[in-house]
Amino acid sequence: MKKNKVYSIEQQQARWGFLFTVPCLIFFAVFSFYPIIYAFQTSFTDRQVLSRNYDYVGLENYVYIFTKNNGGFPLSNSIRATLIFTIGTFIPMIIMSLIIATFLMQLRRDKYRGFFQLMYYMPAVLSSVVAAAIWMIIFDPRGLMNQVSNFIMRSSGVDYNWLVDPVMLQVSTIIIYFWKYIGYFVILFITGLAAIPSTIYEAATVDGSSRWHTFWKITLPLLKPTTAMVSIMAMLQCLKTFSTQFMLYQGGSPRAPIDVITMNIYFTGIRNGRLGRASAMSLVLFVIMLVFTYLQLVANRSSEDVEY
Amino acid sequence: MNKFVGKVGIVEILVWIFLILVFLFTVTPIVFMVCASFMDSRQILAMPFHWIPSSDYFTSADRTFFTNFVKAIMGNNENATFFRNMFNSFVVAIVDSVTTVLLASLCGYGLAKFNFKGRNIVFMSIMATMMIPFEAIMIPLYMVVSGMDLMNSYRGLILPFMVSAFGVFQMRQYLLTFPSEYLDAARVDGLSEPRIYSSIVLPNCKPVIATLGILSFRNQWDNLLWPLLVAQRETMKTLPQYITQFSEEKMTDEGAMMACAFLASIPMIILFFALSRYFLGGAAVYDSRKG
Amino acid sequence: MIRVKAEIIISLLVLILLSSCGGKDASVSVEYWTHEDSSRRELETSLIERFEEENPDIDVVRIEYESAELLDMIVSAFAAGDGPDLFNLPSEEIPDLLTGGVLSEIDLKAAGYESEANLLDEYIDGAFDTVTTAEGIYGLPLEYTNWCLYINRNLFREAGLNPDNPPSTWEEVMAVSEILSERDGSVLIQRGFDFRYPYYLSFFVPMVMQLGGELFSPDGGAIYNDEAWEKALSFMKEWGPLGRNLGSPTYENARTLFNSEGIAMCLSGLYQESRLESQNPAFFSSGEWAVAPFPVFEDTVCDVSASPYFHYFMVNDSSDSPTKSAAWRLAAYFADHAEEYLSEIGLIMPLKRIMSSELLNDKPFASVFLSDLERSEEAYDGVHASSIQTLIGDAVESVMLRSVPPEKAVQALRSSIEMLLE
Repeated sequence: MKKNKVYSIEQQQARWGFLFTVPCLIFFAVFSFYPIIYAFQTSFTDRQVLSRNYDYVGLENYVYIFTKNNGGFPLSNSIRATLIFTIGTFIPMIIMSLIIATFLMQLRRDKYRGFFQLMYYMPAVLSSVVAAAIWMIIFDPRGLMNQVSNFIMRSSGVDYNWLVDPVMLQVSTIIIYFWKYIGYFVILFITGLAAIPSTIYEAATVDGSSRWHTFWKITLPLLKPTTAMVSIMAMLQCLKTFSTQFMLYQGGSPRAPIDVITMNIYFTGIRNGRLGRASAMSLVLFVIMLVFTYLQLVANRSSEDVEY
Repeated sequence: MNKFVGKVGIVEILVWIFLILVFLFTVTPIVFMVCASFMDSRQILAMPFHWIPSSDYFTSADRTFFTNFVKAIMGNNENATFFRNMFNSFVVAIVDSVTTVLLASLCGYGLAKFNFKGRNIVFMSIMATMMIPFEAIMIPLYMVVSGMDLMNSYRGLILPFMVSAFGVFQMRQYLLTFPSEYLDAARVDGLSEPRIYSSIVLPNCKPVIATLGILSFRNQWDNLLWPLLVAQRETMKTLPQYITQFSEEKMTDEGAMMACAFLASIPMIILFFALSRYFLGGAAVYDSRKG
Repeated sequence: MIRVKAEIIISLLVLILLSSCGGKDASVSVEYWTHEDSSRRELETSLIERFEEENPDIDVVRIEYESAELLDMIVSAFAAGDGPDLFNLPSEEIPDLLTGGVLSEIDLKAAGYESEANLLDEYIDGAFDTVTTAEGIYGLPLEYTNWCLYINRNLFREAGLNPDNPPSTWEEVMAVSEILSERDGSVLIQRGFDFRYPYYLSFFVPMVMQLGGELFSPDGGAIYNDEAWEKALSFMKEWGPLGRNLGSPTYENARTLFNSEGIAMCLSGLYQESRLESQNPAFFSSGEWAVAPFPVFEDTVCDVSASPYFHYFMVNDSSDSPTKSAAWRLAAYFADHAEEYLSEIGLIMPLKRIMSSELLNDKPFASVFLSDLERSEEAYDGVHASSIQTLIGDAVESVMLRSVPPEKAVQALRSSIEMLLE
């Protein structure tokens, strides 16, 4: 941003800048802003899904979702489930994809790197429905996962209850999510790594830095803009997760351990018909995401001013 | 490409082992799907699992090599809407990813390289839309689309996803580091602003266009909840809908289910490998510009 | 500029061109949403063709949803002021629609009845209870189903059990399942029997009733007789992976597995016979299957069988009136062919003429279903029935899968239901 100021920008140019954003804004206005404002407004009403009439009830919905147990599925449990899932998925995912990307960049031949990149990304091209179908069979008590676990744990005939046990169930959702998205984040990191001019590394090598040292002192700081973008994106995606949990629930798994906020919104709004409460929950999720994004941005404050 | 000049040693071997383990993790379930699509449910859930079905299995009278695939294509109602639904998925995903790339790059460019009044408000409000889960705006969005009389139409499936907030964000992040000198040089040469966008900015965005394009294609290819709401007619349904519908009655027939999943994935996999050059080339293009 | 504009304009044009243009030109178009059922699809598709021939001005579009999706889709569509013209749902889903005021009152004339009494007279007693309010009647029954215990005699024999002596108590079901199931270590490879999980109002509440409990106490409080509920929940816990590991909701549903001879027992309605016939004709005609009454507990205090439930055709109140009439006419047309529903797909429409017909009595094991009906109590279909079913399901699953103590689960269930009804 500071760069722009070096060059004087005329009023006319600025207008072009705004014009460029207009087509996007029109779509956002109709298909995002309006529904969001509508949901916001709904959160202050007692609107039920099937009735046309509703009244404004002020903050009642917010009080309700924070103090009552919402028919056995309180918001507090959903916040717990969401946070566990998010932290359990997004931090390992960022670290793993950064490690994998760094390792891949070290391979001596582009061909190998390309191959691994493709293979890591493969799960991401399958749709969630397909992924769910595959993993449900793998997690079946008779499925591969138990066989592999028994092999690794040197046990025999133990059922690890992947789809049933509350803890294992959460692990299962994390595994599925990890599998689906690891390749995408690896590629984002590789794009970022590739953008670091090789001259810098050459200089480092001449200086005699160890690889470890180079990684910590040069690669990581230069990778900050990428890390900022990737981690914000990964985090928001995890906080918004829905289909993995929903499909496991549809498959018969208990709801409470994996009742993430989005799933609670869906059930409260559609199945229980309490649109007002569901909307209030989405506002809570919105605030959670906002806070997390803000923290991320603060942590990466200087990221946009990186100079090579 | 090799930036770390080092000796082949224990580190290198460990790196390879690590990479291969990750490879096994990502690829095994896919290989499993492919193998399972030729089996019946008894074999799929056999303990221990055999990756290759025994040879006498296919010579048995009531099964052929393609039994599961025939079932998957004929579907539950023998209407064979499989290909039509696949076509729909393609139309939706292609149109949405093209418009996302175009609109997001335009918007991202405007946000990254111009200093107009209210820029931050525009950026922040677009970012904010990423923080509302789809489930929360599902019903108001349904009202918008049904109010525009777009139910059971391609427009209804496509329009709400023509832009993506993440796309704008990604484009902006990318263009922030784009050297403004190029733009100013073009301005000195007398190029109009839209011209600068189309002939300088857009071509230079290739790597990020590839990743964003593939991401939004995938997202739409994957979309289930929205098509469920707006596309009720058999002929307007998309592939994920086909699969969920198929799974309802065939749930005990895991083989047919896997065949259906496999068939539905083939076009994506082909497309993915066909475009992988651009996709993976992205890093290299990026590199040449920077280096 | 020109190039960019052109690209955008072209893509917009493509969009518009691709969009399908309008529907057919029939003067009235009825959109009919229903749950997925392959045999019913065949029958109804042909019925609709005949109906359209007889009523050339009506065009019917039949749309299927996976049964778990159907309700969500209908509710979402109604919430957005849209929705099908004609649809069907099971009894427990209807109360919320009734209170929401989205249903249309039955159009007697279009349905071919002179008066309400005329209509009621054709159906068995209580056939309209769920869809009747002070204002009128809002639905037409599509099916009336109760579940009994299907048995695969071959699998019984293979396990060394006597197929002529099917289990009659839940304790026996458990003991027999223990023998019928196959395991590898603690991994359950094949089950002997399993419940019909999400439909707790139909099978679990009757099990509680057998032990003396009720969903509502006489004074209206939720969960009557904690001891009975705890006992039934303990039985489920014993059944599940934390107990004797005989089954759980995450496995394939037993009734589908039964058709491919993958499980020895399941709970299902009369329609299962027709499905069995179409999916596994060899097994069907071998006569190696049987139907036994819904089991009871050894110390049963109240002899009830599985709770029967209805499915109703309903019409969207916001459709325009010619469409509403056409929709009711179609529903009545389906009911006129009740004999075909019974003979071809085994669905019982609760018409008096069907209940007493030779056709029904000639169905294999029809007498088992009919005598079980006699000792049944209808599933709860009051306010929030559907949500209550979900809550019961959560209570059962919390005990079965998450080792929540039954006493706690009962307390939680009570408070959840009471909160719901507040």
